[in-house]
Amino acid sequence: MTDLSLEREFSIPADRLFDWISSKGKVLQWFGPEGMNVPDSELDFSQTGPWYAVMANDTMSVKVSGHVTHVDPPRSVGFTWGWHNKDGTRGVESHVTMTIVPTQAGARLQLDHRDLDNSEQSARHEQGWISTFNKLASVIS
Amino acid sequence: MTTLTSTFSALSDSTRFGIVEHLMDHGEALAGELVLGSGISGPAISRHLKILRDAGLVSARAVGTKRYYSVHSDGLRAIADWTSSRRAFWDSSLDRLEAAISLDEDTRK
Repeated sequence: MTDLSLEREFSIPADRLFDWISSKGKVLQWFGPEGMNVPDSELDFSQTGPWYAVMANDTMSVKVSGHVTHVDPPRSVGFTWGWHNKDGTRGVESHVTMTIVPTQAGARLQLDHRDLDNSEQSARHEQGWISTFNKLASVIS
Repeated sequence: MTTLTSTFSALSDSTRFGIVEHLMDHGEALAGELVLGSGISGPAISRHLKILRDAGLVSARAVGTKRYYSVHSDGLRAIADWTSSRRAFWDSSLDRLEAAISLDEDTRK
């Protein structure tokens, strides 16, 4: 499992971009891939504390949760991240940091998603975050 | 991504999802064995199997006049890769963030 780093340029000022990536009503508007909705969540990255989101489509539902570890407006937020298995247990924990850098045109958002535990075993564990995909793993391995 | 879209679309039906789960749990099966206990007619199962085959989720092996169906690992691997891909998750989320912000900008004008 490799660390991920992504960047996006936006044409709005840093403080407004920070609002989009941290405030409760705003995060809900974009969190999760297209085609998944979020029927249940506590997605407030504007203060430290626990967070979670249930993402679902017609056939599957998955939960991810963690703890908001730091909030530094209008520069960055950080939170831990762990997928839940269907039996309620939580997979290996990783860490997400969103950093905002002001630019001439507006602001740049940098997203880092890093593992807290990089062992091979934990990487395998993470692949099985819902029971169906546990089964998939046994079929394809 | 076209393949992945058809894969997800094929699995968005609960009967087809059930067929794939059955094949994962019990190994290969004849269409008739999938009909038993499903409460679904033979022709309907055949249509579902064709959609699953087209999506690369199920493959068929012919023995005489019989066809044995089993899960096709490539289609399943594509899903496993997608779900475990942070890049796919965040790329897609950031696309939506961009769209939400530009919509908001338009209403501000």
